[in-house]
Amino acid sequence: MPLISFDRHSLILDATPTLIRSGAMHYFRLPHPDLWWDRLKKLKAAGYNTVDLYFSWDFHSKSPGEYDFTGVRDVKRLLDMVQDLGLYWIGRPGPYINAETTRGGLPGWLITQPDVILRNRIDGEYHASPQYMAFVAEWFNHILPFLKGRDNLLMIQVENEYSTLEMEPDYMQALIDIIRNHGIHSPTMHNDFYAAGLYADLVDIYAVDNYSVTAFDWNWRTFPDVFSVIDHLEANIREEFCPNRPLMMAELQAGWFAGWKSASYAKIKQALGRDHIAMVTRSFLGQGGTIFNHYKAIGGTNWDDIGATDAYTSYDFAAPISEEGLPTERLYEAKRINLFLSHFDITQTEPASLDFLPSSKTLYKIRRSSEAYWIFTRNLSPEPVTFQLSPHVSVETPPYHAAILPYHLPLNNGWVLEEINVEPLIQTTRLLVLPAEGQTTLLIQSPQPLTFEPTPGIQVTTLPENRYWIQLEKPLGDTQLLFLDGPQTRILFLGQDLVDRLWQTSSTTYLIGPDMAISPEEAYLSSPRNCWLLSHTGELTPLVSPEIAPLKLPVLKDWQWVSEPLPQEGFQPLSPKGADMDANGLYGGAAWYQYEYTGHKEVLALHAQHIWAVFLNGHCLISDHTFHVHPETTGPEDVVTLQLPTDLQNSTQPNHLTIFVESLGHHKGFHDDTRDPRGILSLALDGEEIARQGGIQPALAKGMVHGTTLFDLDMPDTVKAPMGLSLEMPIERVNITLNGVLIGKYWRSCNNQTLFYLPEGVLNLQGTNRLTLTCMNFLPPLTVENPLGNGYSKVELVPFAVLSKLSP
Amino acid sequence: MSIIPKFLLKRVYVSGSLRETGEGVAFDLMNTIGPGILTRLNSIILNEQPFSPKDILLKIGDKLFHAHEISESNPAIFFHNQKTTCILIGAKLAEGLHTITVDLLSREAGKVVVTVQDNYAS
Repeated sequence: MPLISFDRHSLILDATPTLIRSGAMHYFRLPHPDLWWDRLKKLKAAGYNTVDLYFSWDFHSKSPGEYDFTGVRDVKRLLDMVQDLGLYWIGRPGPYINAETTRGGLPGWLITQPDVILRNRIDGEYHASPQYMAFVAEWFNHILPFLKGRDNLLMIQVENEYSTLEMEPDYMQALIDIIRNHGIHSPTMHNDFYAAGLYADLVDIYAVDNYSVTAFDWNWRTFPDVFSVIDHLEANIREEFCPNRPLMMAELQAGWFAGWKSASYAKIKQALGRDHIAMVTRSFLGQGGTIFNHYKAIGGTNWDDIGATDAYTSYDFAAPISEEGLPTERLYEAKRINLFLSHFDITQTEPASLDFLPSSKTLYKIRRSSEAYWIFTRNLSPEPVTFQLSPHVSVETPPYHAAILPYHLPLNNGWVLEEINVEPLIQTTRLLVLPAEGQTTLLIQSPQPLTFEPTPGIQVTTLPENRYWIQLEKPLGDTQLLFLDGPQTRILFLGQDLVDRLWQTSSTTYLIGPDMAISPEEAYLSSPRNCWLLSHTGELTPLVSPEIAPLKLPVLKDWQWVSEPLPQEGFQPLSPKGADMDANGLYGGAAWYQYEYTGHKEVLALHAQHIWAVFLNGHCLISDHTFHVHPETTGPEDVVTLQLPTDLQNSTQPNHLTIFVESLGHHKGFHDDTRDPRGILSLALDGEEIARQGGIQPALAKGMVHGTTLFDLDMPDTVKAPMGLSLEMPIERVNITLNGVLIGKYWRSCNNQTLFYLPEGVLNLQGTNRLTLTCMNFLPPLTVENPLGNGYSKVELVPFAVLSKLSP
Repeated sequence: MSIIPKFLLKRVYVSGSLRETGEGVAFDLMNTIGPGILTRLNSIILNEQPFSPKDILLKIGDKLFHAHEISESNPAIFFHNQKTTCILIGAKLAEGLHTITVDLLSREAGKVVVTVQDNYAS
């Protein structure tokens, strides 16, 4: 077990100061353990040494007293995988986690428990709730034994983004006590949303989260204040709250979530760009921070009813590793930073200055470690900026670019890297790898005279005192590489595209060229290109690029359509506690309600959340939704009134009102709104409230039209092709079920998402799959005369990418 | 509603800034928390008198505008450590202690309701 301690600068693991490069993964959004293994391997391949894991109480407990840690909920298996890969991890068991999960991860059954005050808080005021704490203790009794004894658990987070108006410590301290009483001795931490020192005195490691860009209809690059919280960490947080412990970002923005009626992922990705993660990460490092957690590093899926109200099916998060497990530009940027950090040590630094470098907007920070200076550049302007580091080296910073430049750094081979105008990538005793950005220039000094092999394109100028000024004569092409052979050490210059496709596959080997590489045996390309195996001694071995064969996918056809009639029976009396779904034990999904009345009525008034339809004696009168992204805007104005047609009402026989309501999940609880009820909130006929006088049942098959098809896949082992279902239908709501698992919700009125990931593991890549579309379209009513055949629909399998395996 | 600890709110309201101006009553907020995007100002209540957005002027930096101009599609940006002056058009102040409640919607924090007290002496 590594002995975990820390000092003012960093965590110290087994007496080694260690910079923590963490990425968040939500295992509960990856609906098969094989996906956990795949994503964790990719996280490690991208140079992260730590994975951040929330544990969702709700995911493991669907009924009071019942807990499930099997199959896709097998936490032991997950943590064994983390251990097997040699990763550290940060544990975040809540009890509240937010994470855009329904109720912020609190179980549905908990919110209806009498006398439970969620998170000991009412409107921000602290209210001790023994009943709540008893349930929390029960959750911790189940989850903490999985965490205990794991020697790679770096930290354990207490609650999440918690505060009260008066900042009472009781709840947070009680959680810490429970954790300690379970024999978990890893440092505790808190995630402070306000970066204001909240509960800093209670936990071992104080951490903040910060999302600098959450609005995507404007350009963050025009907003000079965008990184101000991070930019003030050292000034505002360091001395007051962390004089003797490292600076940590519990959530360093690596993306953002999309949802109904909100910015789409296409927009978020475009708005953030690659430069956001580049700048935000290097800015944090420039503040002397040594523990960062990219939130999130890995996308996921809101399968089943995991998502909160404002999140739709895809929880890609514009993360470095996409929902379907593919590398993105942001992954390449993160990998580049991680590669640098794993080869060059900036773990223990203090602010410094260099007399010849005047302060400027581009010179973000200078830091000094025991062996070198580190110059942090950041150009937050649309124009390139150049400054002269010395007579030999000028630094060009392109627009919206950041870099960490070593100055007077002893290298492992005995040379001193005196000056350089790019952020280096790798150093071993025999190899120095540099990006060929613009005209890369470096100045080195050696104890002995050096002789370099003459190389076209590289100019070496000998200076006094065994100093050598090495320059690329012109920029390399994106896919070009160039060697400069010197005694004992080779310097390898890589074009931008090859920098992106540089992977460390072991402590002594690297791959250059693949789109994604876990190892030489697990490397993939999307198109033919040159690839090499690079050893730590600088030997380069060409590899055979595979043929990229076109992928033949089955056409989805022979749909079997079935129309289920409206439910007539099976209704349970509504709870005296209320008509809403939660009061009746339905914490997600949809419900059918039925009411009966006699005689003629004029006006119906309904308040329901979220998507609903009203039927009178079997005829649909109205179908609509009441949905707001912000919970604060839900209110009485959402009550819908309609005239009841006389000709559809029976004079003497009972009239039946049948009402469908679908919940799109609860709020995530950021505003203490997890208890906002779903389903029918009020129902009045001619002014008389009757909401609680009816019956309810889960809306499973009844009253809907279902289309089912079977399709076969035979995916070769040498191909990785994450599959999507492209869906465009003239139908308001469609649930997509693959092999019995709800993996997608299509909502035409808010159709930000029309391509749904079919997760491997749920999707059978070598065999038959059963796909069902459950269509909730009531007005006009659907018929079973093949709703897909009307010319408006598109339902097809689409690969997100086709990657072929590199021959080892 | 966002839970903002009171000690943070006290940092946001500039104590002693409550004053009468030619246009009405003004007070200052200092954004000490972090950059934010204001998508709606619901109301400001001075003692028990509510002021709707059309009766409120905001001065952020050099820009002066009516609060009702702020919307999801036309948000107001609060820079970190920037002062914002709120002006309640036509309001009057008596000497003594006053209670001010600001009710707004922020892109980052959702609904925020800030209640503070300040003394006014002419």
